[in-house]
Amino acid sequence: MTDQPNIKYSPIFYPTQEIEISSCVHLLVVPVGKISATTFKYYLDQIKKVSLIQRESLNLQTLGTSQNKQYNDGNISLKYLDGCYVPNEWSDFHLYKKVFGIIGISHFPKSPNFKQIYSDFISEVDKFKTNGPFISRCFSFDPPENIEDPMLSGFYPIPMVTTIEHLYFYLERLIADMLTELISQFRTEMKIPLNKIETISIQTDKSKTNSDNNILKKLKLARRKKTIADYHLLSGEYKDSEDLYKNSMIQFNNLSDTMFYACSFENLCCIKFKIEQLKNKNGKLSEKIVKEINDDLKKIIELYEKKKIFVLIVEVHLRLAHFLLKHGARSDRNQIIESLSSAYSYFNNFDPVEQILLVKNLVSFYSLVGYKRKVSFFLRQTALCHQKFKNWQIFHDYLLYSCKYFQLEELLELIENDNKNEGVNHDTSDQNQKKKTNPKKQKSFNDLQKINKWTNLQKTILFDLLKATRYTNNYKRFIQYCIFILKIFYKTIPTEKQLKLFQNLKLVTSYLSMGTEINMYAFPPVESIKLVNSNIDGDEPIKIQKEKNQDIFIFTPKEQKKQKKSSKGKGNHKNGNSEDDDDKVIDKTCNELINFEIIVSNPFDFDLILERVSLVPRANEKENFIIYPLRITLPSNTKRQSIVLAIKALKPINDLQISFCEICLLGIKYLHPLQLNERINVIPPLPKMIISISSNNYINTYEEQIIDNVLKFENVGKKIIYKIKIDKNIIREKIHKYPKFAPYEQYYATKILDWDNTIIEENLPLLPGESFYLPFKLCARKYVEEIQFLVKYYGNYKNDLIDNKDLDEYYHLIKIPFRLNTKASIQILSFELIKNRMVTDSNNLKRDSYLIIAEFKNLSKFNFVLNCKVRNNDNLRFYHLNKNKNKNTKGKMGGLNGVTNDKMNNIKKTKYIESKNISENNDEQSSIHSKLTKHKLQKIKKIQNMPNSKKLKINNVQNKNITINRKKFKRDHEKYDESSIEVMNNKYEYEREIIIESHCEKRIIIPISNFNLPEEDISGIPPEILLDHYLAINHYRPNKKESFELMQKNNIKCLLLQKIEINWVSNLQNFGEIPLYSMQISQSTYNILKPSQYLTSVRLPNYIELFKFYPIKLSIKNITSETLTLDFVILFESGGNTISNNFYHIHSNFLKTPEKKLLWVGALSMSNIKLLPDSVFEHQIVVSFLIHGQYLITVKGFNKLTNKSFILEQKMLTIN
Amino acid sequence: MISTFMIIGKDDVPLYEASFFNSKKQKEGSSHLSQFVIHAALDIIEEKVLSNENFFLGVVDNFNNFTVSAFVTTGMVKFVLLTENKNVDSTKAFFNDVYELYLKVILNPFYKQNSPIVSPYFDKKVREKFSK
Repeated sequence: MTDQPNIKYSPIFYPTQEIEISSCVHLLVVPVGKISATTFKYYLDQIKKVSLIQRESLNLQTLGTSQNKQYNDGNISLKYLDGCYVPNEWSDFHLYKKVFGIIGISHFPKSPNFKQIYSDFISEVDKFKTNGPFISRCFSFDPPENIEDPMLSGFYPIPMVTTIEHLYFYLERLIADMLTELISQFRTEMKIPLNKIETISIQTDKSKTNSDNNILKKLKLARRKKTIADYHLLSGEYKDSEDLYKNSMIQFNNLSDTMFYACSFENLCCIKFKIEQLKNKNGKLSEKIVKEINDDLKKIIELYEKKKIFVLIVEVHLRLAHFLLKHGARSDRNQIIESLSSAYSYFNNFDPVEQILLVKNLVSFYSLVGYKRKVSFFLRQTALCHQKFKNWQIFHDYLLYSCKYFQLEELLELIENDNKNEGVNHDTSDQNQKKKTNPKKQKSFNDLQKINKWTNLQKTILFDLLKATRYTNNYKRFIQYCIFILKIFYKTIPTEKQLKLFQNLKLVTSYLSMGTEINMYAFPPVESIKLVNSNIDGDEPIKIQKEKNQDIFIFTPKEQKKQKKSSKGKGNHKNGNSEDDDDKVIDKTCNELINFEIIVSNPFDFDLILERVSLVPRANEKENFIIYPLRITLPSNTKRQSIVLAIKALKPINDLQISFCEICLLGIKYLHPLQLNERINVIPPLPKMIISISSNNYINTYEEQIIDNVLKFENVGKKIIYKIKIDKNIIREKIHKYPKFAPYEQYYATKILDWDNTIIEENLPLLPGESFYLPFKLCARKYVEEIQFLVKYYGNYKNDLIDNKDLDEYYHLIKIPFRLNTKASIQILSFELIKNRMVTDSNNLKRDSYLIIAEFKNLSKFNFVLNCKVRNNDNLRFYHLNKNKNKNTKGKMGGLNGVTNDKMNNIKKTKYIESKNISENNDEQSSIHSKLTKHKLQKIKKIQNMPNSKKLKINNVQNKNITINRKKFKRDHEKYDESSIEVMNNKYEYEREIIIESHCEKRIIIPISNFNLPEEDISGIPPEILLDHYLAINHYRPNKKESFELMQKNNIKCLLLQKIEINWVSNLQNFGEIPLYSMQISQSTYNILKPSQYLTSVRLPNYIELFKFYPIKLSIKNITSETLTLDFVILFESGGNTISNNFYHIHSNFLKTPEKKLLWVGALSMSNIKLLPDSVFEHQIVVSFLIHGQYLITVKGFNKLTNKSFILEQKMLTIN
Repeated sequence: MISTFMIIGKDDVPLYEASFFNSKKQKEGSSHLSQFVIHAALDIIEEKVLSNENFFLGVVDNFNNFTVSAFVTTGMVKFVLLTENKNVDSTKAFFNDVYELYLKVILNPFYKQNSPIVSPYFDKKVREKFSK
């Protein structure tokens, strides 16, 4: 290192460039005795506040009266130079550059000896004292109150004061006294006769050629006038000085003394400015004055340019820029830039110290103008100037500051944060760590690559910084810059240079102690860090959501928003929180591994050995964790390398904070901040259960196949399981997700997964190590692709006592899915119900018996045996159409198993052809059955749409064609013992088991006697089905008769589905049930089953107005051959009210008409109406509707004999 | 220092840079100083754009013997030329020629706005225009 020059003050270049500087008195402030730098700076700042002293506050009467009255309006400006001072070469030319006094600052508590201080001060004064006016004062701050004043000349103890204002007052008074003395000395100086004054050594142009004494004498006189004017200006006597300057300028002009002319002109500008400022108390100058001063300064520059005095040219340029910056308009900005550019153009004409002063000035000017890039440029220039003196630390600092606007903000931020946190122990303050690297502000590695394109410029700065740190032995910074260069510019740096940098890095790290922390995130580059959910189902604790007791009277929009949000995200949520939520909470238990996946890359051409990669938890929680560090080698040019890091919490922690991922490379620690989207809670240990199944989760099944299986529940944890709750989840194929299950399907859906909850209850609480088995049945339903067991189990971590019923606030959820690959099995093609005969039941009541004629098709590759039974009752007999009997296939399921493949194929073919033949042969004979056989639904619909005459014909045909062979018939209403039944000229033979071969169709007959028809047993239908039916009416516009029929058909179907069950057993020993819900109720079946004892009509008026009474006429006709007794009720329904299926329920509520929507006169119910055959009952009520809308009018009947209710008529009324 | 032409897009992103060497010595020397000077001139360019209606702003800054001339498009893309040549007319003509070439580049549907211009054709043409 060379000796550092004084770069604060130059003997040539003057640092302060204000237009009023010409009128400023310069005073030097020096520390005296023992005083700390901060105390000195504090008192210096207090003194600097006294920068302007009004002349009227000075005691000038003692100096004699002044000629000009304006004197008292002027003021004296003060400038303080701190610490040191280098006499300026131009101080005779520019008198203001001279120091006219010295102020010593001492601090009594540190230097209590007044005499010693005084002598030290005198020696300081001797150092700086110049010829001419010079004053000195020494202030000793903070002496005790009782100390005596030493009465030394120019020595002033300043007692400790309570307020800064008080101190200011003290200092102002003392400095005013000082200035009074100085002005007195100025007066004395002004009175010195001309012959006693030395001439200033600057010669005029003419003096070089003409040595005429007369000219020299005139010149001397003019310069003396200028000097006196300078003293007047410094004393605040503007008028006198203005007159003298003007006078001297005329003489200088005549004598061609350009330099002094320009100097006088300069000072005159200052007077113009000061006088104008005094006139306008707000300090604003008029545009005219600004223009005048601007022009004057330009002229002065021209004058100095003639003489090529670069220092003075630059000074005036800077002064002009400063003046325009403060007082100019926006349009003057170009002039400012020009002035600054011109000032810089003389840069190379100065020596290094002046160059530094110039560029520092330019930095401050450009920062005032707001030119950030220029500031950076000149900061770098300043750094380069310091480089000449090998002042590497300053060189480094200036370069670093310049980074800000060279798009290297990240580096600067990093270093600044590092500086702030230097010395702060990483282990003690976690908050400091957070401040150190703010992850939000940090750009990713790739982002930095994209943005920085001023590569040459940035590389130059970074390599210069590297050089500076090498010279200053700042190893830590060296490493930081090295890494930054490698990170940002590895693409543009050749491999050799990369290696060289890395070798330097290796070398420098050896100087540092192991484990030194480097605040350089992401080296090697960390691409991403995320929490890995390593848990399999069931390991994840789930918090129980407590229902809030909401006060319905308090409306909180915030709460409503929350609810909306949660309902929207339902399904994707975990623990009730949406994924969008910032605070997604993840619960982990103690001693559970918490894994994080870290993706790192090595884009460099050399391998990196990561000596330690680990997670760093919050500082004060370190002892609660076990950290599992890793050591890995990252090969060169690795784009993505995944590392899974684990951490284990030993104690429960609310909001676990893992602050950093620590990477140790070459013995240096790099911390990469973790930015997780989740909040991790560590909760106490919970019980752990394993559920195992004996079979595979993927099952190949047939439609409606029933599978028996067993689940094994085993407590493998250390905690007791107090509660196990099982739910099921049925996932349908996507295309069948909507609409939902049809009502009858819904009923069936309850059977898809079935288990016995009592087995679970018997085995609870489940102690550690214990296990139990749970058998269950699974039914493979069409379109169901997956069935899931949702098993929740609960423990109690607070107290493991068995008696304690308070469960954990967490539970585990295990999903056991069964993926089903369901193939078609047996399908029902047609279903027909025909009346057979009258039977007498156990109560001696006569009732009809029926025959079900159904046709099935086997869609699978295997043979099936059918078995039909009334649900929860006895098996029913089968009769199957067997016109051309084939002995090979007759009712032998066991035999089928033993048949060879060839034979099986033959059988299939034979049966298939046979079945087809049957349908073809019978075409002419049996109209309805042949149509049903041919093809199912469409055909059935066609039949339904036939005219009434045809329907009657069909019924007749049916009745005529039924003849039963009663050879073995017993008078038992429950059983049929006939060996065969003939229906519509087809003979159906009895078989114990019906076998349907692969891809064959078969028609069978099932006699039913103990079968309650729907008209008598509506109440037996599950309520949810009925409910759905009524809702479904709306879709089919229930005011039409067909819709009502459809509803009734559905009712009938529901009843049938409840009553009949047809099971199958395949030759693979699989068993299941035929899905009867796909059957269609034909018109003929409907005609048999519909409640057709009464013919009811409800007549409504054609046009209805509100508030007017209209009659509604009801007529009920008995169309049977018997006398009937009937109760009925008329129901009005509107706006979503639903009707219960229970008659008495309706009866007790029917008077509750739809919420004051109508008024009526007349009875809404009648009872015990006796209707003879073919007689008609008529009834009328008068109704007035009060509100627009739709009204459903339903007439319900109640048969007292059978104790059943039924709907007689239903009509929809719309009032617009 | 060498003559340098740069196109600077939004957020001070350099889109194109071409250095024009007169001698081998110049080629050996680094071009970083040109970048420093051009980067520093951006402040003045932004200032002058406000008070100038023309695309061509003329000489905006100077450094030693070199002058910095600028041309700013309506999309605030700055063309900056650092050269010793003080001939304003030839500089203006150069800028106009480059502007035409630039328009062709941005009309290319595959060119992403504010991304570096890497077309060799553009580079060749710019150098041709400069040598004129």
